[in-house]
Amino acid sequence: MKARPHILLLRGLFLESGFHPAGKQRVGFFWALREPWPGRDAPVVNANPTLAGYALGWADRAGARVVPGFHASLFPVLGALGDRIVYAMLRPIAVLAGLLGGAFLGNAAALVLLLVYNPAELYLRLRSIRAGQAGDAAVASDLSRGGLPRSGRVLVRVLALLAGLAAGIWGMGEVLDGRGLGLLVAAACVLPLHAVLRRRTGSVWLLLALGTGVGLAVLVTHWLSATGPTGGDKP
Amino acid sequence: MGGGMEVGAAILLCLLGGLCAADTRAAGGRGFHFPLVAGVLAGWIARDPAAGLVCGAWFQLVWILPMPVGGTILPDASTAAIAAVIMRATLAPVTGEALALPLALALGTALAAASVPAERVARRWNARKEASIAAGRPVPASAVCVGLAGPFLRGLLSVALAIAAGGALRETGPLAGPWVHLRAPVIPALLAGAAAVAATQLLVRARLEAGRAMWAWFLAAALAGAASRLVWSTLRP
Repeated sequence: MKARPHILLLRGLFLESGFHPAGKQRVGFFWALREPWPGRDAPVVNANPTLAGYALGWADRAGARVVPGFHASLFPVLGALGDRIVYAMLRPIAVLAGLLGGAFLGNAAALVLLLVYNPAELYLRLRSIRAGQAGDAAVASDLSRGGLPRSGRVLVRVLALLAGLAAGIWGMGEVLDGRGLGLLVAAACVLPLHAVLRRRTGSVWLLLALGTGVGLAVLVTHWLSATGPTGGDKP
Repeated sequence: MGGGMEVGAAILLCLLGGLCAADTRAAGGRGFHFPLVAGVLAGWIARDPAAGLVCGAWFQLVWILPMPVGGTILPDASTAAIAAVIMRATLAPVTGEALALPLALALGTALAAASVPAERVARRWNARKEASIAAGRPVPASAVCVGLAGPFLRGLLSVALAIAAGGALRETGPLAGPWVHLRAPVIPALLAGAAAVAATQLLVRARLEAGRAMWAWFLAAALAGAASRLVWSTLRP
């Protein structure tokens, strides 16, 4: 163990700064380790940036020569588990917390989001670095069913709770503001949207087109309902 | 600059765009790249906090589950939100809310689209920089700085472009007309559309993650949320 965990944490934040398609994160990785650059033999480094701490800590303990072996055995696991926990759970949880904060506190939504996301994400980074520096057994224990996957199961429940709260608060707000019909149209759009997005979740342009389409449908509903055009504002 | 936008605010917005774009991946992702955060900060700087919250929330809902896996380049929604706030603040006095907000979101989306090829160029530049790193020596800090500079400049220039475009549209006045008299519930409609897309993404994800127990949690929370909103509206003066 050569570097202190918080030094590795700080340098590891810039893991993706030199990202490119062939070598992925290896420039940031070797910069964080302060190991000599192996030149053409530099291994490809590709992991979820939050959980890459396992590789950083492990390589810090045993030297950069372990990276190719780590790549074969654990980088795919770190990528899959990290993407699931960070991108599919932690981020939406922070977003929903922020939006819920926004519903009651206005612009404090941004602060709520940052306060939910940052401590949890930094904790994951530090935990992974410490486990990596502790060695094989600690890494294996952390990645086994009782470790991070168990935290993932808790996060799914939190996500379901926050999504339910957001849906209930926003839905009731729409009803109280007299936009119940628009709410019904938006809710009805979820079923056909689901049929389309089930196979095409990666297409953000599709998402935008669908969002615009649903928005227009709700707008037309508003116009057709009692809150429709008022005939114009007097200048 | 920006059709009435102060120079100091314009500079701050450009710097915010650079910070958010760099934070997306290269600078460690400390949360400033979330469109909700970027939009709110831009709203404060542009003295239009309500628009900041609406634009940020819209982009955030549409991009609620971005998965930048395996080097996938996703459109930069944070600079898109900042650009939308600027356009809305600049155009609303000329066109009215009903047209300004959809136009602002459309321009933000176009800028997000442009960020993808720009990021591809930055990554190619990173690969060239890597080739120049001397073997047997530690990686120089300049290699990391170059990687940070690319996204920072892209975000800064995107926001500068939005300020210039907003100013040009406002000064030449091609959008002025009867729009300003149009009253449409455009904000709830736009947010409802984005919320439907967000709900669908979460639903697709729930098929992979959640069992029946999760649905019970969701429904119980939805009922609690609706009740709390009802109580809130009753107690609020």
